[in-house]
Amino acid sequence: MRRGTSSAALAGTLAASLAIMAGCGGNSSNGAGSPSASSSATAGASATASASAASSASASAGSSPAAAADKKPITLKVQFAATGPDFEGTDVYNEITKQTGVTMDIELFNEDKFKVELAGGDLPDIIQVKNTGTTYLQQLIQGGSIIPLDDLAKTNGPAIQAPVYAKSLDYSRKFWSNGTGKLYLIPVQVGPSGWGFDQQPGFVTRWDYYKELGYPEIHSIDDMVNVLADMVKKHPTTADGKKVYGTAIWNDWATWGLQSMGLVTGNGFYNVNTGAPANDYTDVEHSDMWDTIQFLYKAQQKGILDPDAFTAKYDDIVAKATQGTLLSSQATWPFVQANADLLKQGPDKGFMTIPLDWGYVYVGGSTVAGWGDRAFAITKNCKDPQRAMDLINFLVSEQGSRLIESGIQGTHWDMVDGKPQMKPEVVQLRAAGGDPWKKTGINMAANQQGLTDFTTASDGSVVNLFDTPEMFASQNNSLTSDYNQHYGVTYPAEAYKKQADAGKVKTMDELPQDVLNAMATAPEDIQRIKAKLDDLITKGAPTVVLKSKDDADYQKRQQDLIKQLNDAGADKYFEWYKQAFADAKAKIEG
Amino acid sequence: MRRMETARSAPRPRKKTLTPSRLTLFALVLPCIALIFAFNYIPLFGWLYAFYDFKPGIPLSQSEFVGLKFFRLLFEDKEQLATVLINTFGLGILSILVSPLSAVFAILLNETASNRFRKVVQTLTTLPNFISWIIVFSLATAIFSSDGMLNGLLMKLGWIHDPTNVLADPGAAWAFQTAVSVWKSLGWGSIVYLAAIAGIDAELYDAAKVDGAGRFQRIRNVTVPGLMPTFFVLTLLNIAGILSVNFEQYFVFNNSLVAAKIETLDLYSVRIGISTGDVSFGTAIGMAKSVVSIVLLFLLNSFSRKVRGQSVF
Repeated sequence: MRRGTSSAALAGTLAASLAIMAGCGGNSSNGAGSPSASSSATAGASATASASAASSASASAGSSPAAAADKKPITLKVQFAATGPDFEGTDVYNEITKQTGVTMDIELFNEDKFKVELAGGDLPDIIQVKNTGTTYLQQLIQGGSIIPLDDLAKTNGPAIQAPVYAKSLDYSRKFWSNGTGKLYLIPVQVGPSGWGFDQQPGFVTRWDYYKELGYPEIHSIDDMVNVLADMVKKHPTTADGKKVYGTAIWNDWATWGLQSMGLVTGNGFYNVNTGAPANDYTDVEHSDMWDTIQFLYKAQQKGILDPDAFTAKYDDIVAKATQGTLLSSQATWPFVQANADLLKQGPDKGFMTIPLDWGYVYVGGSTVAGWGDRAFAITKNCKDPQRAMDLINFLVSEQGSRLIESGIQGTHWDMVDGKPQMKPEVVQLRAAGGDPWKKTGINMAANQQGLTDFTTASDGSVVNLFDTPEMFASQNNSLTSDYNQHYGVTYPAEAYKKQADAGKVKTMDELPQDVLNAMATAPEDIQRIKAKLDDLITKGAPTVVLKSKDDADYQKRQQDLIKQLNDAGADKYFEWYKQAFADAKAKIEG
Repeated sequence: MRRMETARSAPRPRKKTLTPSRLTLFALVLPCIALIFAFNYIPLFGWLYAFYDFKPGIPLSQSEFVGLKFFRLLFEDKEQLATVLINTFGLGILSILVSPLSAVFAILLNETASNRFRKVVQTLTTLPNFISWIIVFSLATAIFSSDGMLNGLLMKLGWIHDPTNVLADPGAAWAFQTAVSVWKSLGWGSIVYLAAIAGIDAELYDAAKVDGAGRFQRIRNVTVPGLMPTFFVLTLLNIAGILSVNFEQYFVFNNSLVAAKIETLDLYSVRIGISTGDVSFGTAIGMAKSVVSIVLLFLLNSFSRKVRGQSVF
């Protein structure tokens, strides 16, 4: 699996978000944030009004990282979220080494390995702390495994001292210091987010089949299932005779798959529909887990649920999508290869996200905390903390963020009439994808950049130069053009954007990310309850979906499982969650 | 003969002095003792963690001593404990029940006339033992999953219309896991029995032949009794290890559908200790398992000594 591209990054933050919504629970997977990447994945759109406003603070990061290059070359061991050793040797990677004099020996974050390293005192020089929903930060600070960065930030962190980072550092000191008030974590992906070229999370299905059905309106989960059932009826097998199914989830990202319908409905631990926390385990009306279970049950009743729905891992789902046996998912990532293959078979063949006029769309928002589960820290094992800070400073700087997302100035982009623009050949390279594009390293380290793609840089353009209206036009192909034409838009994500602008669909603007990221670590007994609840619902959901004979039986099984969850402490967990949310909110607002 | 008996009844007094040859023998056994000490006894230090509220990254010296808290916690969740115990014993008993298959297989191999055929079969059946469980899982997925080879074949033949998936069938989980385990260990397990058969006095077979015993009767009256001591010792050891059977197998084959059927004590310990990060609780579970295993071994050993007059120690 490729990691670190924008889709991977988005998956990462999605996983983080679901974890945030979950509040706590240390048994999340290692796989989050690692879907196969797409060359035609997020390119981003012109920032929304709110995004532009939020970014108007600008990111004139006053770094002078080039000075670091004069220092003696050094190799540091770094443990990155969602960015693995395949980033090494790319153009962007080499440029980082050139600019900082620091060669990164990259280790991909793996939660189990991290725990062992933490216990054994073997952490690498720089780590990204999976802070949300875990007690790792508390353990790292209490055990002295990471060092305070206040002084280093002053001496070796000019970019971190820039105004754009001021609130983020205050936030980090206030909420991520285990009550010490010191600076331990340097946030990444700080700032506003906006609409990309296409909307990746959502109800994704075969566009040509949807067109064939006459673009039926989808107003509910029932409608989704009916549309998929109609598609299966018309196309029951693949060209080579394999049976086609309507949907499935992947099960190796902890409870991600089970919560995935929340990306469409907006339900979850923090419920954007009600603007308040909800008991995701037992409050059926406001639960993303029960939304997903209902969706899968109805699909099962229609005979369109993949038999591997509860055993498939992410890679299995990608394989099914590529073989053509799977017709939908709650994100575009599994369909990258399928789309590339289908495009050769017909101009309008492929998978697209259907813009709904209800629910929620996972896009937008602005945060000073950034992606709360992957802020940088320097460990006590680091022999040269100054150089480690040099590297972090560069990665989070405006220059570093631009480099990560847009490549090297002069090689991948140029200043044209005072405006930075991607070189046409690089745009073509991206469209073609494959190894030559991968060799550039652009977009591979999105989980390490300090500023979001949509942050306005000091040259007046956004950090990710692919996120401009001109770039979107260059990315449309026959499939997206067909889609655009139907919805009367110029790039695919705009179809959903119209619904959001009309107020029909809620966005991440309504998700209080900074409050969620500031929630206290759950005490031990609460964490134990959460682990038990996740285990119960993970094991119980298949029974409800697969064994229920009819709606009445479904209701009964649902109530049985809810009783088990209540007996295991679902209410107690929710009480803690509500209180922790209220406390964090009061602190943020106070 | 009489002279030998006399010699046995009056053993020479043992020399207690250290001779060079004794030292050599001791030196030879020393690495084994060191290895056992290093890998079997030193890790027992880790049991200490079950009595502290340990969090990775925070030294044990700074962790709170909580006594038997985690053992109490283990017994508080009776439902979970009952499930994992049922699974552990259920799967363990099944593995004991199928253990004679290795002996039967060894006997069948031994009776095969063609030497070449025997060697080929033995090699092919021993080979799976060296395949890692993750590869076995991949193979099983390729064959038995809903879009695997088996379903493809059966659907093409028109025998079934909807694919089956035994990997996700809780009802078949125990039987399937036992079958996979047998496939993997049959050839390897038969080696000990083949060696035991080779050790049976050939004169016994000749005598049986002279007495007019056919092949089946020779097996029943010579081979099987000859294998029994080996079988009992192995079974005894297997029963003692019943709580530790095939952790890797259940770990790789685990999914949300069959989890309630194949979550054994080991898997539970790993889920709590590593996945959930509750190291102390996980250690307590592992420790409880070891204590039960030791008790089980001693019980069975004394039982065997009383009933058959044979025991491991």
